[in-house]
Amino acid sequence: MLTYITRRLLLLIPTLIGVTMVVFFVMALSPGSVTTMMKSAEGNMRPEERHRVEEYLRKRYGLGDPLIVQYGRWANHISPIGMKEPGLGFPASWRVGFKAPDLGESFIRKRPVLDVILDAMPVTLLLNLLTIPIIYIVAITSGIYAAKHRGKLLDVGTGTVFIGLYSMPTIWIGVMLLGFFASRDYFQWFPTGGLHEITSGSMPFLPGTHEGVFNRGWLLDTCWHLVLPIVCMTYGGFAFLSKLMRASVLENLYADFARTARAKGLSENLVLFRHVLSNSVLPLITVAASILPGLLGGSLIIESIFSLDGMGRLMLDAIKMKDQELVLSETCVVGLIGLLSMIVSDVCYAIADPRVSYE
Amino acid sequence: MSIAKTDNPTASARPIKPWLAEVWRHAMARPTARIGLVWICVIAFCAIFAPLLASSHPLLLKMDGRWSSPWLRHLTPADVILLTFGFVGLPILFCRRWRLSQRLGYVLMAVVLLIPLCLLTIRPPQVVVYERYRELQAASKVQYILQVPVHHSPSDRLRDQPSPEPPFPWEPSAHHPLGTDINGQDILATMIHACRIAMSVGFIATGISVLLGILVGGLMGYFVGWTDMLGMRLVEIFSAIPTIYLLLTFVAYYERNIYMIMAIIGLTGWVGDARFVRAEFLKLRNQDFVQAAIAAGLPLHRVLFRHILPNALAPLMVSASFGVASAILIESTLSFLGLGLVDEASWGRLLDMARGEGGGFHWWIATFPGLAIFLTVLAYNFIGEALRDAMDPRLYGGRG
Amino acid sequence: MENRFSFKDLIVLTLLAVLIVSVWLAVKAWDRQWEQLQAIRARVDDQGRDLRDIQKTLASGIAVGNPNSGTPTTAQADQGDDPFARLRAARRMTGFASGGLLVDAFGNSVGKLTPLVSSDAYAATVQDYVLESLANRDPATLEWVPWLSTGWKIVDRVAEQDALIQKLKAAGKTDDEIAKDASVPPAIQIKFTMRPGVRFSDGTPLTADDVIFTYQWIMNPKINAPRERSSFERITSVQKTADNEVTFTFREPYFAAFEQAASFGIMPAHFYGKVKPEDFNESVGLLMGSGPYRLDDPTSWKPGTLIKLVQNDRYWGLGGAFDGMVWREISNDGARLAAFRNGDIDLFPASPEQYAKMIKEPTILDRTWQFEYQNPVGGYRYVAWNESKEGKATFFADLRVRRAMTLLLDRQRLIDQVMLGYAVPATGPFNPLSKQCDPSVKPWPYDVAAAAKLLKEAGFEDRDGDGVLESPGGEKFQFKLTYPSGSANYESMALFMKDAYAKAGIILKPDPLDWSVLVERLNKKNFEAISLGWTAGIESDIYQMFDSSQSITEGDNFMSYKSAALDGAIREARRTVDDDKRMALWREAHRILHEDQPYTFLLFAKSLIFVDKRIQNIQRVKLGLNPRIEWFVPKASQRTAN
Repeated sequence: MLTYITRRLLLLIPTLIGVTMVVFFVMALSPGSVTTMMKSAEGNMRPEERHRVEEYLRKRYGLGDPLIVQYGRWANHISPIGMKEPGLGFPASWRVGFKAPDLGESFIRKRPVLDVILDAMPVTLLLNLLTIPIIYIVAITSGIYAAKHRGKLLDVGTGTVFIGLYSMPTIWIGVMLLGFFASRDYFQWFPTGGLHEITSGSMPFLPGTHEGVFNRGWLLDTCWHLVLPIVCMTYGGFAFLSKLMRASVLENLYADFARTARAKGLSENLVLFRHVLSNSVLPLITVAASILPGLLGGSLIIESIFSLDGMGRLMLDAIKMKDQELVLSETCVVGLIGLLSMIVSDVCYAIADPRVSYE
Repeated sequence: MSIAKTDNPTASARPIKPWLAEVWRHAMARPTARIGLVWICVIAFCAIFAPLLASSHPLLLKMDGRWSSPWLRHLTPADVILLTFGFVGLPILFCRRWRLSQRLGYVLMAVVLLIPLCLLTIRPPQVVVYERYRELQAASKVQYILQVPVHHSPSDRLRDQPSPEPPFPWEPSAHHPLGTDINGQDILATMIHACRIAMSVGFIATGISVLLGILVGGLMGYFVGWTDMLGMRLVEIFSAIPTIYLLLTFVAYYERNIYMIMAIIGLTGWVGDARFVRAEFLKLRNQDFVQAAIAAGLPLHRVLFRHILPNALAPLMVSASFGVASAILIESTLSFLGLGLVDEASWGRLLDMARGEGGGFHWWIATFPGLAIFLTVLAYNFIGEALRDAMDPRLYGGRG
Repeated sequence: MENRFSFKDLIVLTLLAVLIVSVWLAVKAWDRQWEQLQAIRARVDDQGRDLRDIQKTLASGIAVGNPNSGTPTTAQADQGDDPFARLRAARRMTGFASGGLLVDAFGNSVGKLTPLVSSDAYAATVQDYVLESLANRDPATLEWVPWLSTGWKIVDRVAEQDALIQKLKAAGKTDDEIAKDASVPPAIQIKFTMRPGVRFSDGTPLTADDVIFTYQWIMNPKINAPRERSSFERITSVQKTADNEVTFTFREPYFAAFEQAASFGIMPAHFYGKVKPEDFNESVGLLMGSGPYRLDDPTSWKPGTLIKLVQNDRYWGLGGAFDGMVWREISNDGARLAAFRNGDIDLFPASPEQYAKMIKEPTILDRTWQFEYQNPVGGYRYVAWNESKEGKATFFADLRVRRAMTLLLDRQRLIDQVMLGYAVPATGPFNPLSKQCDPSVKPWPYDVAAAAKLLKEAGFEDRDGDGVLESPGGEKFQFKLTYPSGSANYESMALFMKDAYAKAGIILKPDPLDWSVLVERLNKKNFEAISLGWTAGIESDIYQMFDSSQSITEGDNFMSYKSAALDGAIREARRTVDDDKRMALWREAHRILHEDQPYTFLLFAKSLIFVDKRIQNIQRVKLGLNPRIEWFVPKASQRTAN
């Protein structure tokens, strides 16, 4: 087991190099290559300013070197292990060793990329961590019932409805929900965007009444802002997991142990909930981590529609403004999250199902 | 290892066509799949016959006693090819007198001949004044006019309205059944013409990704060992980064045109297919009959590509069906985010316009194009779902 | 692996997750309280410091001299040179009350508040209330009034210098030698007398040394302020010529010399001087000055947190009525509008579409003041016709063609359709409100026949009957109109022009480009026509855009327009210090541009602003709306929380 995990973690390194290479070369081979950044970042740059950017790029990429060297230099900057100035990092006196990864500076925001990303990360994580349990609860419940009533209207119905939901473009639902439920012209039930009301800074944390006036408080305010985005993020995910749950329950329902249990005289419901269910949830748990990359992608759209300042919106801004360092670093960070979640998912699967060989 | 099986090495590699046909028949037994198919036919019909459905140019015009057909004059080469295909090719395809391969051959040959011919000879006017006919009519200089059902071309921006009141966009009305967009373009017309983009993006992008998937997956499954290892890393790389991030990075740095976007969607979507083909190869590789075939002296590549790949075709069809759906979604998402096509009619671009400046909301610009995207995606998903279930009788069918 | 994952485990895991979430929420709640506590503590510290200061002053027995904080009753008398006359008038209004907060919103996140290294307009808005300059323009008359100075003297020796240079030239000296010759007097010297008793918000007096420090700080090549530095290149020196006098010396005559010297924000030497240039470049929230408002803590603002300015209790003059000014960052247009409707923000600059819709709503009419005005610093939109691409003259090199292009555009209709009427047609680069603009210049009319005639004269005719004009050389008349992508507004305009030109047989291909690519094309002059906008100042210098010397690579005269007459007018105007003479020259330039049409000048957009009705004393003045420090809110409707 341990060897399996170690092996996977070691394989992470070439993959990560691959991820960075893909993003780097996509950018470097594009018309204008790295140097486009100089012109693009500010639109109109004065000579002095251009000079400074040039200086920065030379240090970071080594303009004029072959691409592969440029890549090496950049990768060294962003990696936590590598060449470094003696006196920094660990071991201090060496030229090679651990160091603080340097993700560069965002040209538009004029701040270190790491800061910018760390600011945006919690929002995206919050969205995703709220979404996953909701999808699971709905998918598990509906999967069980679909399996139980296999072939009946309920089964076919939920299946069809979930495919329908899955086919609804988030961009459409997002725009429609905003248009109809957060607009003065129709129903103004929800806010038009953002994560907090602008007055939330002065709200108490929990809801309560203050001098007879109800104040919804910071927590409730945040939840209220999250309703529409979370609805948009969840509805598409039911189909896949519900189907998986249904198949898994069906498989177990006719397994030998279920038959034995039935033969013992246990009621159908008892068989289902006591024996079958515990086995059926398994495959769902193991895919939990692997749906993360998809959700991260989905949250990009949600964040852009509902103006939430998360990673996705950051990426979109960076791309529109051609803030190269930000684009590169963010893709790497998201890629890393995706890779790690895939490993977690595989390891979960290996733990859960002893039949899987660790090869 | 039983000797008996070596007698008939291809026994479990079912004959291709009947099985495919069987799966197809089975899938189409489902009402949802049939609805899906019908809707796709509707979209295809709109794409092929777009100029006949929506155009500002009258089919027939009698002015000063002279007859003319501005509609004919304004057809582009693409219009002519598609219309010819629609009027001549489709009947041939559905004609039962020849065999299918014959029919396909004829149509293909005709299209190949027609394309350069049209591109070379057809030169529609480059400056188009769409409001001309309406202005002529208003000045009652027209004696007879015959128009196609929707009286507007997608880029007819109603410039004959001296000062549009109320300002654009207009809500649905008798003249504009689905309203106009913020530039005064008729939404129904735009949507009809946008079917072309939707159809072509779906098919071409999916074609690229399926081919790539077969290639990479096949190589991995065939060579195993190091190739497999490298290939799997590649697959991992592409599945770790969310597709939309990858797409945005691509789109950001390269010039945007429709072919580029199709290629990029294809390039980022092959991972699932590759994984699948590889798994199929690996699974079948170790099976007795394949081992036996190899032992009998058949070269491995022959076994794999002649006998295994066809087996994988039906599942690939499923994945292609879902692939088309997601390609359409991705294209509209890109357009919606303002990173898609600029000049072409696209459902996603319309959807973007629905969000007026500063929280305004034009319900008709959101509803109809969104519905079109939804229904099309749904149709492909229905078909994909039905195909998948048809191949896996364990899940559906009740009595299994 | 015996104990497989069971349903019970799932429940346990769920409970665990719930527990983690609750702990996280508790931490979050505690964090929020801690932040508020910190804020309170900082405030108490500050007040303690104040108290100590007061005690010190009392102990040393010196009264705080503040010549300008007279009582309102005496205001009438010294209105002439009192910089706070308008404020005093506001204070006399019925219902005046100080207090409350003014809340505005920014559409984008502000990255830095540190002066010089911040680059966005938002940061500049905030800095306006914190940093002050030697003189200010009066919002009503647009004339300069003394601010941190009590007055100034301009020594204009242009004529003397010119004469001397002529003499030296006659003596056979080269330009280089003349430039180095110490006997040539500087063209302009401006001597400012510093206002006594001015203090920065931490109580340190503001003196001539701070002015010199600011100048030197900007000129320090280590400071990342190239823009300011390059505009200061004309200043030869800034010297302290007497205890309370600073002298700015300009070697060459320059019309905006006074504006340059008078309008930069004075930074405290004792505060910024301690900071290393590298740290200053990296800093985000170092902002302190002598203005009526200040940051609560001049060092600790961070991007993403609320921007809040509080009253500067030590302000030397008459501060604004509001206790504080708050800017929120609301990037979503809709959310900003909703916040304004809810009364959470006090101002809302609207787009034409929003304005047209909102002024029809009774609740909005009830609750807000609406302002629709022509902004003197509002810019104009134009289409630039490139006259030379890749070294070859284009169709637009012909004046008749350019004029025809303008005549073919129905600009009033463009305004009606794209801007919903909230704009005025432009005749030239100068704002119609400015004295630079010649009111006798009337916009070219929409005249298709005249345009066709001009085009025919220039040799453009449809010879092969395909509806497209051909050039005398037989080429089709088609061109790409480049514009920045992502803006629905520019796109609508481009499409409007496409249809307008199609009627005349000219093919326009819309070519939206990303800003970065667009700038590269501009620099290389690799475009045919481009639709953009320029912002304008109260007095705009058009040298950059139209002087023939600026048609170099990366110059702003990217359409390679060359006119000797215009060059003469612009250059002469730029070295004329006398206002009346200069304005005559600018007007001449305006007339030349109108005749030559290097651009088709499209429109000046109007400013459309809604302000909450609680706010009183908002006036339309020449500068647009009067400064916000003159506004106030009656006691009853004051806002206290953020």
